[in-house]
Amino acid sequence: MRAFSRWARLSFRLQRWEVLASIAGVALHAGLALWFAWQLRGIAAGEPACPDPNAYVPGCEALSQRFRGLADWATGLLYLSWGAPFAMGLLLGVPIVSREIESGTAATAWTLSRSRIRWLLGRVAFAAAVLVMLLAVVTVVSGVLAVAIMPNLHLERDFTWIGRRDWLIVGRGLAALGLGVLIGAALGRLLPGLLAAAFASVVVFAGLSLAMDRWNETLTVVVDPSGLPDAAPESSGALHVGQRIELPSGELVSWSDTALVGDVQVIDERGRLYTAFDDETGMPDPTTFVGWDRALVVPGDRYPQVVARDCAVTIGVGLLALGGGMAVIRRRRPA
Amino acid sequence: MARAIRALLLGWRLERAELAAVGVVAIGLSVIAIGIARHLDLIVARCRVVGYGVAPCGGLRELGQVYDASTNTQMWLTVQLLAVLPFVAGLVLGAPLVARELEQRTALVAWPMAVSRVRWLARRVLPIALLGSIVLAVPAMAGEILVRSMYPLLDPATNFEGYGTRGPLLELRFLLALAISVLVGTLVGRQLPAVLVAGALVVGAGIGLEQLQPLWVEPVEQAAAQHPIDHVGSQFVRQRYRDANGGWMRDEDAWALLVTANEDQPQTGLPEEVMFVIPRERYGDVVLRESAALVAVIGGVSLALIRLLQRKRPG
Repeated sequence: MRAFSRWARLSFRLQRWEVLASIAGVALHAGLALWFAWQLRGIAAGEPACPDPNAYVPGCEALSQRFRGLADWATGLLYLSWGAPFAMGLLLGVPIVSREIESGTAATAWTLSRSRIRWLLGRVAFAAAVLVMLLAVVTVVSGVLAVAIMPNLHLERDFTWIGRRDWLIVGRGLAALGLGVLIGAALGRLLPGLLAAAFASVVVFAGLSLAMDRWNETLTVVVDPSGLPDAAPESSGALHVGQRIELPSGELVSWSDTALVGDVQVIDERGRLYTAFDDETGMPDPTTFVGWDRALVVPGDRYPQVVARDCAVTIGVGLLALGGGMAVIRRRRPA
Repeated sequence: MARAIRALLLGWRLERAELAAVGVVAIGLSVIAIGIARHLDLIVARCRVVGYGVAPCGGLRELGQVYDASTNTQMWLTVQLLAVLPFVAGLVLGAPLVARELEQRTALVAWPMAVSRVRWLARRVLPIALLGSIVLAVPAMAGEILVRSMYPLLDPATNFEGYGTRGPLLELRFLLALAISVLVGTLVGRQLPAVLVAGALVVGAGIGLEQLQPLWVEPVEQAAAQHPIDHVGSQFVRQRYRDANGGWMRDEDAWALLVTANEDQPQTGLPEEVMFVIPRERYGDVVLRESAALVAVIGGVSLALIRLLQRKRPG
């Protein structure tokens, strides 16, 4: 117990500024999120019909206006929830090794510890624990806020604001932490490390997002997007993965496949696609009919499954990056 | 001349990684902005040939704006990033400039060896300010090109769209962020804490400038539009309601009257909705006033920085 307390105290002292800044940021975010949620819930509880953006209810104008005004600000907080794991993960991860190298203390620290890997794991464990605790707070309050903003949706089976109100926030934070450790160790300088890690995060997470989109295609169903959501109940709360053209033969082809479908110029209100107008009538030329506009969507009830596997993959990437960081510091000179 | 080149080389050597990062982002954003502008120009050219009944030429053409759904998202994102760029660049280049010397204790040697601390500071800050300004001149021009292509029927010099993301304001906002960050770096004396504290201050400055924008000149009542394009490019400030006697009403009272109005009855005695805007023709005045205010604030921060540096202990 005493060893644990000493480790925690020492680790905190080494990363005091980053930890305190993260705590301050999360406290501010949580405070604001809970205040907005309280205000929005108050309005919704008083007049349950007023917050529905799809319905006009006489007498609701002032309340509805106030609800939407508050909801606009609250939605901004959910953008912060999206950005928080990247910012905090890098802020806590990059300095762990780079600051020691830059300030010349790595030589002493690495020589004094039993092994460099053990030293690194001790440092990363503290940062990861702080990160998980703080991001768990962000996740919970963001979930509460999202429900308050959209009281009429079933957000537990709805992809709206995925990654801004679920455990993907924690997963992404851990991945950013691993990436920060790797790049901080490789560059050995704090600020350049932070910048390079930010660049690398953009690339890695964009790639990850594209890869997950491809994987999510295995869960998709084909729907007619022209009358969403009434025409296709499965598209309510769904994750939009791609757009396709359904040929009269029933085959689905990509929009970029112009060799097959030609240059589509017109979509009518029923989702029918044509390549030209009739010059005389000004209407779509029926002889140039190509097929129907179709959307590939993952139904809303798959939301927990998609979040869970996205989380697992993201944490896996973080662990890989951490492994890379270990490999770097095993071979690296401490100065 | 040789001294100036030597000073620039020193600036580059001191902040190579930071300048490279800012350069890559600035040039990358500029390329994206010009690419979108070129795409929009092609759409406009095509619309002039095929006529405005065909998507995406219809609808928005009368507002002087022609775009399609995908470029709409790209435009929005690019303009937002251009708005943030000068603040991030100032923060990244400014915060470590003195903080690193203090943190690594090289100031202990550098300050006693310099003729004066102020001259030492000038030899560090001025080349970085100059190099940063040169790099940011590219997105400042790209922003102008993008807004010109977004609104092909309007002159960017009389259009509030993309305010702060183009032209001299982008440069001056960068210099403000740089001055604040150097000041905080000198005060805190450690790089990462300086980045965090200066980051918070720079975000505050950005939000403050956003809030101040409608206050630089007196807003006027928006005149009735002859054409839809008449209202495009002006800066909306607020909306009020006027009763039948010409007096101002509370918003809630106006809404209550508007809601109870019967659509089948003649619409008499209803509140009139009045928009207050800064007309687009006053864009130049607003830019000039904000620029003057920014120059004054940068001067003030620089003086505070010099005073702080002269009293600061180097270790």
